[in-house]
Amino acid sequence: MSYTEPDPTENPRHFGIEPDEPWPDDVPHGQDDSHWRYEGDPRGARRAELRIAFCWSLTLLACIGLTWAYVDGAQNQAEGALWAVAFLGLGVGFVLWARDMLPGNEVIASRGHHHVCPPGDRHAVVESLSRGVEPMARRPFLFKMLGAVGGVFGLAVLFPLASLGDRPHENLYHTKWGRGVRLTTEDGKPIRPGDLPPNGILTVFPNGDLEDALSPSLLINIGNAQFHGSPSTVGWNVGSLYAFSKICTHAGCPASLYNVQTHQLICPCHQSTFDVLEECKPVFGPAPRSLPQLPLAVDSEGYLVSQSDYHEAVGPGFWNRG
Amino acid sequence: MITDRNRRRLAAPLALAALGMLAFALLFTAGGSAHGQQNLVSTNPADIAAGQQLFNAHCESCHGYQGRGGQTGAPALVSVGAAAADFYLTTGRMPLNNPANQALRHHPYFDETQIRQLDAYIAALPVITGTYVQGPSIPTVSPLCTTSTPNPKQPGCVTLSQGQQLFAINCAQCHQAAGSGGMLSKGNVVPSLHNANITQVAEAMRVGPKPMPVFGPNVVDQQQMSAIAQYVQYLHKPANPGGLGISHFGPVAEGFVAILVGGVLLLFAARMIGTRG
Repeated sequence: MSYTEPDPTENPRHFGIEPDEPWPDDVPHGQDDSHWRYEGDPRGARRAELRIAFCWSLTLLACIGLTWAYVDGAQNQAEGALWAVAFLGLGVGFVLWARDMLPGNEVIASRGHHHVCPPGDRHAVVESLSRGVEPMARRPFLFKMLGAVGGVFGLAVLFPLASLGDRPHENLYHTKWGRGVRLTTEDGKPIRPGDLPPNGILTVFPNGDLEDALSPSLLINIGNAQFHGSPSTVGWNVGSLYAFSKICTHAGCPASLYNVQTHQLICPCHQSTFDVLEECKPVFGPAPRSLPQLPLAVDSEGYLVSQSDYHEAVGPGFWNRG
Repeated sequence: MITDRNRRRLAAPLALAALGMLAFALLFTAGGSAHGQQNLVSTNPADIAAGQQLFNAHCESCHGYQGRGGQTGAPALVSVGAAAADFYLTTGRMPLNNPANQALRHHPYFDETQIRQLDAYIAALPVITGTYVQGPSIPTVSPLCTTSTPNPKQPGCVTLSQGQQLFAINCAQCHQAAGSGGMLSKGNVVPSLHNANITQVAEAMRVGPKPMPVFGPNVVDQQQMSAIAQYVQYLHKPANPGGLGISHFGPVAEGFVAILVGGVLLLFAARMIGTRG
């Protein structure tokens, strides 16, 4: 480390304390930041080094274990415990390093009236740092070990990227609904318009695609209430039955708390509220868009089907969709 | 057929005769509702008459003459069925002081006999008023299987795991995964289910006590309804694998405990790190 020597006459202050002023009460008297705990005790220093190495070995082993637990995929609790050991080992190692290997006391001193540290202070900080690194620099083993820990730790963090799965491409815009796809219940039964009584709700899925994450929709019988749709959605209902995406446009939670008195759907996560009679327009909360409406029809056998896919992407916004 | 106009003209003398016919007529109107439900609602004319007296004294001011609806915005009760009457009365939600308030669970105002009589009267209303549109009757709930999977020796029994799945998809969004309740828009409260008995849960599904939606027999069939009702009974005292239940309020309560306990521990740890020898 290098530092251009400032003019000592320009600012003679050291840690904000004027040389001629009496030592303040809150700063330890005769403080000297050049000494460290095991300065004159090589065996003690060696033991301290081994303690730190032990902590970081725990981190190393835990990271290797994490990789195994992730690939094995069976033990969530084990992963959590290993993360805890890894972070604790790293942290305790650092704390021991600071306690046993780094010199100096903590000093709280007034900064005076300057917003920028005066050159005297900066000089003192650099000087203190270079003296502090010196006992560590004599222990390359610990530095190498820290490098290894960092590497393995980084790997363990990178591994779960595999869990992100395939790139989404176009399929964020499409669901499994389409022309003539039957609405079914969660046990795969098709639904007739008369099955849902007034003020009834039902979570529906596209026939045969119960697992598709974007498709779940909520079928609502609004009873005698008056629906105020835009001209483009005329004919998307079957009598008093309307279907909307169940996935909140804010963060993707299932927005299905239906209040039959106000005809409002609420999302339990952040209280976004949608007015069903106004095409599920958001009326409260963080949701930015209406819940998309699914166009409904009845097929030749009298079961409810979708006329087409949703006309817009369902669920929360993504990179090229605000 | 007893029409509205006739009844008004001949009111009192015909009342007894009408009640006599009721018992007979009810056999036909309730006959189609299956699953032996009608035996839970009395068709005894004396009960119906007593129910009518109670209704006139306590309910008519809002719900109107013969439950045809009043001027306070209180709903007509002609076709709501005995399930609605039984649900609102046994949970103490009715009578309600102010019709604008949300009906919340309360100590029942009427005793068991009175509720039985009022149920009988409400169930008889479609015949008394001549509308003949019958609402849901008090449902019966199928028993829980003695084994954890459906038991062939116990036909019609239901399991807790069926109930859990159905509860998760139909009920948990509002009543919360452990049935602890929550909130809804416009200041409406979602009640906790921890005090609801098995019949009340089944009734609530069939009736849809506002603001709750209706879950009719074509959406949640008899077996599914029973499974949900049985599961809600389990939720009164659920198993707590992994530690404290913390009132089963979910992540908010758990996070709060984590902050209180974990945060204090971290404070101590920070204090220890800060102390140097």
